[in-house]
Amino acid sequence: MKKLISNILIFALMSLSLCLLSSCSDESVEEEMGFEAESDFFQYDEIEWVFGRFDVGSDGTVYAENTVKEYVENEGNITVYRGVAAYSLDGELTEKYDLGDYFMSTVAYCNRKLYLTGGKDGSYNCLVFSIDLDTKEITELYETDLSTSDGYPLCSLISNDSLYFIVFDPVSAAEVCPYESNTFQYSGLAVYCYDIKTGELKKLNIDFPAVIGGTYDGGICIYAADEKGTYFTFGENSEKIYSDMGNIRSFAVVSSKNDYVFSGISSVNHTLNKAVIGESGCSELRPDVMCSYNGIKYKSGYTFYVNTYNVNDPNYTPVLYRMKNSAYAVENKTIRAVSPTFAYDEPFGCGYKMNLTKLTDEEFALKVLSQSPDYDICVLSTRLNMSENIRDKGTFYPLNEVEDVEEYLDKCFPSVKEAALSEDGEIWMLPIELDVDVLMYNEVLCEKYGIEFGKDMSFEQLIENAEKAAKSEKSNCYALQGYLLNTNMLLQFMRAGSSFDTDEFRSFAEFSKERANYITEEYPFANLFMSQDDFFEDKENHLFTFSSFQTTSEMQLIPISDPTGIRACPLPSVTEDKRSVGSCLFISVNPTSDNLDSVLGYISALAEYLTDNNPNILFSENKFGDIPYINDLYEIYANSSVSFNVSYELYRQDYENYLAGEVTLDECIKEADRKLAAYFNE
Amino acid sequence: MKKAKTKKGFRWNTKCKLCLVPSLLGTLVFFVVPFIRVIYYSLIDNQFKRNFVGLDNYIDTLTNDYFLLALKNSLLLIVICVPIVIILSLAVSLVLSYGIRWVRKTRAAFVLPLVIPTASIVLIWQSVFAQDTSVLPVYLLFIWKNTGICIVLLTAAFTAIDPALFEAARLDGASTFTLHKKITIPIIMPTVFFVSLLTIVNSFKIFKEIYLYYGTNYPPDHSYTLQYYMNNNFLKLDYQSLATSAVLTSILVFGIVMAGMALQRRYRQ
Repeated sequence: MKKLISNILIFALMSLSLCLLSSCSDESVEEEMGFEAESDFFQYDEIEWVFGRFDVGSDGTVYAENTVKEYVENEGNITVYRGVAAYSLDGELTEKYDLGDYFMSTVAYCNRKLYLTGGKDGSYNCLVFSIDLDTKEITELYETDLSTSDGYPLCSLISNDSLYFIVFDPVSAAEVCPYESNTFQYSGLAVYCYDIKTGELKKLNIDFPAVIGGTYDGGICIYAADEKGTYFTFGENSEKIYSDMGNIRSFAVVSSKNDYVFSGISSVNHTLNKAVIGESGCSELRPDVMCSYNGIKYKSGYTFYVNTYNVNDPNYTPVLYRMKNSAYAVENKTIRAVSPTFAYDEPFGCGYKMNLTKLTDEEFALKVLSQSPDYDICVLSTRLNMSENIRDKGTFYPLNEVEDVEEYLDKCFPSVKEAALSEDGEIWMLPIELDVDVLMYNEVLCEKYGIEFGKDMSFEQLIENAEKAAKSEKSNCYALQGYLLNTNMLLQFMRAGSSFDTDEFRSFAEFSKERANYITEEYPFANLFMSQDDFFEDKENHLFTFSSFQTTSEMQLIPISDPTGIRACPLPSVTEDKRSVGSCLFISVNPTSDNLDSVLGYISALAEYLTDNNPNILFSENKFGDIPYINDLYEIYANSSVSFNVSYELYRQDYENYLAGEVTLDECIKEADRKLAAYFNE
Repeated sequence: MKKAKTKKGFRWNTKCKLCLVPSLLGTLVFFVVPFIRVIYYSLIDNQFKRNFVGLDNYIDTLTNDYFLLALKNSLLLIVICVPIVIILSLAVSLVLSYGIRWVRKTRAAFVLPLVIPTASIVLIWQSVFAQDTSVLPVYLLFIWKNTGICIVLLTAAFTAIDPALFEAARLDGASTFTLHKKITIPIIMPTVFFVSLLTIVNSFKIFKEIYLYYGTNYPPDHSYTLQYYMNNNFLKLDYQSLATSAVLTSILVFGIVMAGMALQRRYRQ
């Protein structure tokens, strides 16, 4: 009995203690309220030119810079108002806070206050100041020794009653970072910590930091570098998790498993990504995204990001978006993609976690032949000689039953659909890009110099045009690469048959040697590379350019607002087949993959995504508008055929030896035919 | 006593067999099982659909002009180069074993072809035989590369002959010719057989040298060997042709080795 009473008393005491402890919560730790928005994806139209100067409150309210400028003659744009505005979940402006003489570079929200870094008229040092959201009172908290002439803080966040910000520091910049690579360079930044309670500022002992990001639970994560490489760490003396992510500008850790959302500038395709710290592979959540410093914030399952990505639109302004992570990130087993040599563009991940590995041709062949289950898809182009073999040897998983794939193929050009089907009618690949060689030219300017382009132009006429251009005053205003042009011609001959011993080839080869010899460099080619962007940038002065790859995004296809005067025409045909030679980038699924569910889900998602968002000319329907050169391109693409190449070594070297005068034409043809015969018949 | 002896012998035998297990296991896992798998692949149409086609793949391969060309070239290499290697090796070994002292000191130089990187040798070969379009550079390269090891082995065989045997024979009145016919040749014959088989097996492995020399997967017809046929089919993902030709090549090599061993056994008798 005594024992029972004492146990009850002990239990009561323990319960009381727990209650007392829980009631003594630190007032400075804000209780996470959370919020739920109506839509999974939202664009804040009312917020302009925000860049990284924003933060998100615990209720989802966005606090962003609100600056008003007016144009004054002889003085340009003058700032007439500086402030911060609050925007609700619906994007409506709900409150404004006037900054007066202060101007902000970063803002961080905590407990109904905004903590800002920036400066003040008349001051040359970086300041830390705050705005009380209830009283709108501005309080200057700290004047640092950091000169504004060196730059302003790039990003900031609140964690554990401290304001952390990263800024250029001359002392740090003087130190040499022991780690540099093609994708990472140290910018002389340092992380500072302002203690809100004590009012003290200190510089963190983190070597070579690059950026800071918030965590889902109000913590801080720092991305920095040391002699071993780049790493993430959650504090000054915390563990370093090494991960080579290049030059990240913004990121936020979104889960306790160290998932993080980030935008980098080292990837070919600018996307908003999600990955796990320390692990390879990432999920691409949104395409065409590039965030500046402080451009990503995470709150309650939503990622807020400012997209500064722009290809060629001069009217583009950075826009703030809100995205529900669970709607865009798929929790899947990593899809392992392999690609021989290089892929021109990696396919969009559609939220699936992916990891692309580049292999040599031999490694790729070995992986496919060994029925290795440790890869899921292969990404390659029909330019590579192995692509046709994948179809012919049945090393693919048929996609006929995969949702959205058939509808997707039906939208493609007939030649693409034909190439995607095997003899048995199985869909062996998902085409994602079609590239056709074209000539883009300024019609008016060319006419002025007597240069004529057209659909039925012969190879001789093209060379004559190039010769005219070379002799004109616009001799540096055109581009025609001999190697690529000859490649296209040779592919046409390969398409026509497996022998070069034809009158057409002999005629072409003799003419090339005499008038278009890119080996001896006695030719009218301008071997400079003029991209589409270069061509359009000064279209008034550029004659024509040879474009071997066509589009990687919608903006690149229509790079200028006024495309008048620009036309496109196909490359000359040197065989009876008048269709243009095209190459297709595609995805093929490994039939022995141990991750088929995820893979087929990804294929379906990608097909659905590309159906609505394909930036390339792949579908027969013109969605870019009734513009003459766009119409030209569509006509050329519609009249193209997808060619599966054989290895260049089978005929290229012999052709070049002929152009160099090392062998006769007969020897060249004989040797090329011998190799081709072996290739096709062994 | 007899029982104890048998039991001890049994334990010893068991221990010996157990010692062989790791090696046999490795052979099984890395050679036997994969080879059986290759045979299986040679009997199906496609390693993904796996329809049994019997000997169709073998018929296709044996009637393929390029396989027959490769087979012809590989056999020509054996027929022409292997005897030259053996004869040359024997001659040099004799000089090294019984010749002038300073010549004997150059013994180490014959190992050089084995240690010099193939790429370096090929560079030199390309400059020396730049104008030669025949198969001679390939044959000479093979002979140069393989003679060294044969010289080493044959020299060891020669020097292993007990001089006492020669002395005893001379005492019995044997002539020099008789000495070599009755003593030298029978003693070194197993080594000669061995180096012959070794050279034949090496002739099937000359792919690297030819590939580097011509720099292409499709060398002139005279140098197109079985390895090229197999390698090109590998790159074209044609596993069935690759498997079939691998099995046929294995049978060929096996046959040659068995024939050689049978000849050696007959010679001993």
